[in-house]
Amino acid sequence: MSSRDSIGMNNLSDSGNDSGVEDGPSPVNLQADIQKIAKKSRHRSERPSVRLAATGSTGVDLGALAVLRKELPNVDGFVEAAPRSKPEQKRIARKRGYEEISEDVNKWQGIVHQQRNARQLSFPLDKNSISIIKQDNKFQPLMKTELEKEMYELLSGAEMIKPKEESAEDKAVREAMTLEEVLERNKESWRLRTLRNKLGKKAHIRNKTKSKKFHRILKKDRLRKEASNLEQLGKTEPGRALDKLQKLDEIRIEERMTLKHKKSKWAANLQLRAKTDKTALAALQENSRLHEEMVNKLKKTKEEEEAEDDSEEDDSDTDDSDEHDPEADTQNSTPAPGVQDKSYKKMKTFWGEYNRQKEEEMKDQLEEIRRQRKQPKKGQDEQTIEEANKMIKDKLKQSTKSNKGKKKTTCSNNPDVNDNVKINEYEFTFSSMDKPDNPMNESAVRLRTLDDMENFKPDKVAPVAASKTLKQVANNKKKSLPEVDASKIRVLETKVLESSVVKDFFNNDSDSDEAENDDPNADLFDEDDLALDEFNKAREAAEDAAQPKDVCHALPGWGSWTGPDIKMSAKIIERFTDKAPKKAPSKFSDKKNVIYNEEADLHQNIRNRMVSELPFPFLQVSDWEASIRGPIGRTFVPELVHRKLIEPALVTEIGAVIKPMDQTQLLKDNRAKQAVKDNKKTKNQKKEEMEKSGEKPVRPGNQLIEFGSSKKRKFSRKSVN
Amino acid sequence: DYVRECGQVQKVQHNPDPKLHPFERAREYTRALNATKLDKVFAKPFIGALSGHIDSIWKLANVPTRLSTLISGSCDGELRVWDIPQRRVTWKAQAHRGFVRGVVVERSGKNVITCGDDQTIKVWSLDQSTIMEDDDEQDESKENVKPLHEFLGKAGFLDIDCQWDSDLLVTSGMQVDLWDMNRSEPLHSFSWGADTINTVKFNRVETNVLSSTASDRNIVLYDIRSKTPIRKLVMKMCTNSLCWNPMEAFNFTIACEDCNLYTFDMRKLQQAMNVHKDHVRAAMSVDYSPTGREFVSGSYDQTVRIFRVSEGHSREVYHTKRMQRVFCVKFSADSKFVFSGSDDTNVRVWKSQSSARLGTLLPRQKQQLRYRKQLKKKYVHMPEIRRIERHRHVPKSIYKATELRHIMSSAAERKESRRRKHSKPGSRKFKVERKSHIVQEDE
Repeated sequence: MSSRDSIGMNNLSDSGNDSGVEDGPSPVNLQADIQKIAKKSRHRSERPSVRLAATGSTGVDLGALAVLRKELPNVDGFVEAAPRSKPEQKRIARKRGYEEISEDVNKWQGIVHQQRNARQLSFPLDKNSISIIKQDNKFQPLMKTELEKEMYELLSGAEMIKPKEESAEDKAVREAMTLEEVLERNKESWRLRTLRNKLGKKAHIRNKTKSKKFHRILKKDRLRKEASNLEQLGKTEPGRALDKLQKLDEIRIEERMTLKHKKSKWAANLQLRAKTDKTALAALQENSRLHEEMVNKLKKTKEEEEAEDDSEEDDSDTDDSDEHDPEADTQNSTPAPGVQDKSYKKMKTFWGEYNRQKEEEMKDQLEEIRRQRKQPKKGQDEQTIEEANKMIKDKLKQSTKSNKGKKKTTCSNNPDVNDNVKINEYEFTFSSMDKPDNPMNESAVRLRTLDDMENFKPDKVAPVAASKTLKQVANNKKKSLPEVDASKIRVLETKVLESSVVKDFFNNDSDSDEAENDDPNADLFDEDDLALDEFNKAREAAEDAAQPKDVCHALPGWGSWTGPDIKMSAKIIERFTDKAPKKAPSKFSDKKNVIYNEEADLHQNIRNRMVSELPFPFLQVSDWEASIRGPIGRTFVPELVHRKLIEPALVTEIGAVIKPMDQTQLLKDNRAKQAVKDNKKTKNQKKEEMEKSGEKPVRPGNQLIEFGSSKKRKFSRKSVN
Repeated sequence: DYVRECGQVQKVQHNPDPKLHPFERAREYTRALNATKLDKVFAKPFIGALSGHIDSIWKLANVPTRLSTLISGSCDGELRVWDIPQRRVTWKAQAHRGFVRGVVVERSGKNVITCGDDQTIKVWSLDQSTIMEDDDEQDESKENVKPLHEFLGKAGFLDIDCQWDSDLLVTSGMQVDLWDMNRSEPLHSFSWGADTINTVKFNRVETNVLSSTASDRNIVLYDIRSKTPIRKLVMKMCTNSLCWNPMEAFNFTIACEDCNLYTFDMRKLQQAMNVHKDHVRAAMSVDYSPTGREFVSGSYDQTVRIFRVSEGHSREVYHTKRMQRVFCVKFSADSKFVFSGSDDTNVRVWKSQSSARLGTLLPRQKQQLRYRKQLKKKYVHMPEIRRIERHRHVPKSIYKATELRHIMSSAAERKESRRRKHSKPGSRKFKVERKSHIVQEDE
């Protein structure tokens, strides 16, 4: 003990010598030395006191102790530990207790933080209970070493590990579904049921349909599908396709063998009656004739189709319209002679009538236009219009004729009904040009929306309409209108009309003006100059008024004499003047034709609904604005979003006692999880670092027990349920 | 043809295209305004008064297992157990001579424990067989109700509290005594300094910690495991009541004689977490809502106020003409009601949300109310809505007193700022409001 002390002394002296040996100690060295000494002296002051107590209690070597006692006071910095007073002891105990408790309650920090920042809190808090999962027989424990295996075998041999027996209750819990699952299942079953019902209904309706045509179409459809399938199959799997074909052939052969196709109930009956009844015989003969015809027709149509295909291939370059035309269809299929006649006649009469009606309508319209014209004299323009009408009529006749002719001769496109309509429109635009207050004006441009209404300007209508019609004509040309000669319609350009009308109109006005005034502009500009001056003055005045003024608080008579002729000194005035800050120029200051009254810019109602300062939790104006921007009502947002948005921050159950938080809530705390995550992160980082430095990663021991993992909690909740 | 399950409500298709619903902000603003106004219209927080005591009510206690029972102790030593839905007394007893200083219900909810000036602690069974019919009978029955046990102390007791998770009791008076229910002598006595200890309260989460407030303006924390007091905090003025936050283990709030309430973190006592101002006379009592988000306080200025923990000013003030100085307040265990006991011998029942609707609500009603609440929250900063939302009527005396206090505080502030201006820069330090009411923290 003493030797140690002497060593300490030596050290001390050594260090002292060291410092003494150096001639001129640098400040850095000196500082280091001082620290060293300080450390040593502290060590010494602690060590002997402890040792004293130890030896004193055992009663060993008291003589040495006495010597030491004498020596000790000489050592620097040694203070003998006096027994602490009772208040002091208590104080230390209190301090320690407080520190411990403060440290201990820190464990609640995470959950408190979580609760304070939660979007939604619900009370009473969930009850957390810990449950221990017993050893389950299903899972073989992971055994790495031989020893482990042996141990396990021994234990299982001794039946120390008992398989967890599942009680009836547990089983029920395990097998029972959660509410979500039940809801999900119900939903699914509902969906299936509705689907089944829907399909069933559809099938029922289809089966109930008595229309033979419908069923035939169905059958055809089915056959086509099968054929296409077969074709595809032929491409992909020729072997299977062949099999299928063979099967089909077999079916056909079977059918042929039954002779069902040749038999007809109606024919058989007639055959029976034919022996006595002549009409029946005639009917039979008629039937066989028809049959023959049909067979011939079939052959013919096949030939024709082939021919048509060729022709269509030729036409395809010129013919763009792929519209399905019922007329063309009827023409394409040449029916049996008897049938053909009837249908053809019907069709002929129908189209004749249709065209006649159209013509009459056109005539009526033209006449109406004529009637509505109120101009007494027949001017140039009317003549042109009449000419135009005539030409249109001619065109129409031509077109209808060609329509008729076409039906007889060609099997290509027939004119659209739309064309007539378009021409009508064209005529209307015409008349619109005729007079601005014409009721026909309405149809010139279609005002479909409110925007159109706003943008609608009567001056613009005519040219727009004209250009539109021109475009339409051009389009029609593109869409193949072989009969109507587009170039001739182009001659009837509205521009001509427009110019004539507008010219006349303006000419008349200017004539009258000229009669009254020689030079109307001179006076006008004089007045303008005056007004401009006045306006500029007003503008400047307003700008001045908007600028904040300097305020002078100087009072005459304070600090100097005052009287009727005595002026205040400029110094005093300057001293007591509060200078107003210069206002930034308004956004309209560079516009010379505007007087901008800033105060009148916002309506008072709006001002009332503006906040004067940024509300508390927000740090930026944009945040605050964003917080009130989006709507939350179910009128404006979808129902589910609405519900999400209006979720209350605090949910309490009615009539439930809310108990204070207890220790089990700590299990729910995510901090443990977070800590594990962090740990992993740091581990990964460490790994990387180690890999860089070339070290081997150390296998981690038991780091942290993860409380309340999702699986465990689920289990525990279930078991609670 | 689709009909909702719950009733004859037809399904309505709704197109949320914003073009079809113009002026959304303007419309929602109007709705928010209407919601705020409706809230005011429906704000009728007073449910009823339970009258019967013949002296001021000093202490209230509720039962940890029941919602419908409230217990009150009055200054003449009478104990009453109330059935709140029925608004009548279940039973009553002359518990003590002098004040009933403390009432608490044991955690099982079976026994009521009271203490008083007469140096006794008495344990009563909560379910007494005597049922009151009329007043004459009551007086007789008062004699019949007897305590289960009775402990005699050395001096009068001033408060009592029960640990949440065991049967330990703690009383205050000359010193803080820790009792076991099965022993007639205290297990341990804590003392630190010598003055009357007015209140004592167990932490409801960290149940081994308790705190007391004494007449010499200090608040002391104790640890019952190490059986020592651990820290003392000296305030500028005396603390009348203390309550621990039931959801945040380390936070507690005190009701102070200087009209304010202070929320503290027990780990950082050198500074209050929050100063809650609004009362104009001494705050007498404080109690936390079981949700831990707000607390109620009763004051000598005859008002009951509800504060949010995080806010410096009250969100609600309750008063009636007849309510006198409030000595004790209590939140109900479901956080929906507030009870106050006052000098006028009545216990009053209030809603904690002044415009809340009682009883069960239909889902649609619920949704509507939620929507309104959210709207109000969204537009609460708008001046018009803010004005309506914030308006409260208070008696003239309180209004004037508030005004006066404002004048005084602003004058003091002005004076301080002037002093600062005229002294050497940096020599006068700014005082933090949260620290300014604390004298010192003793170890």
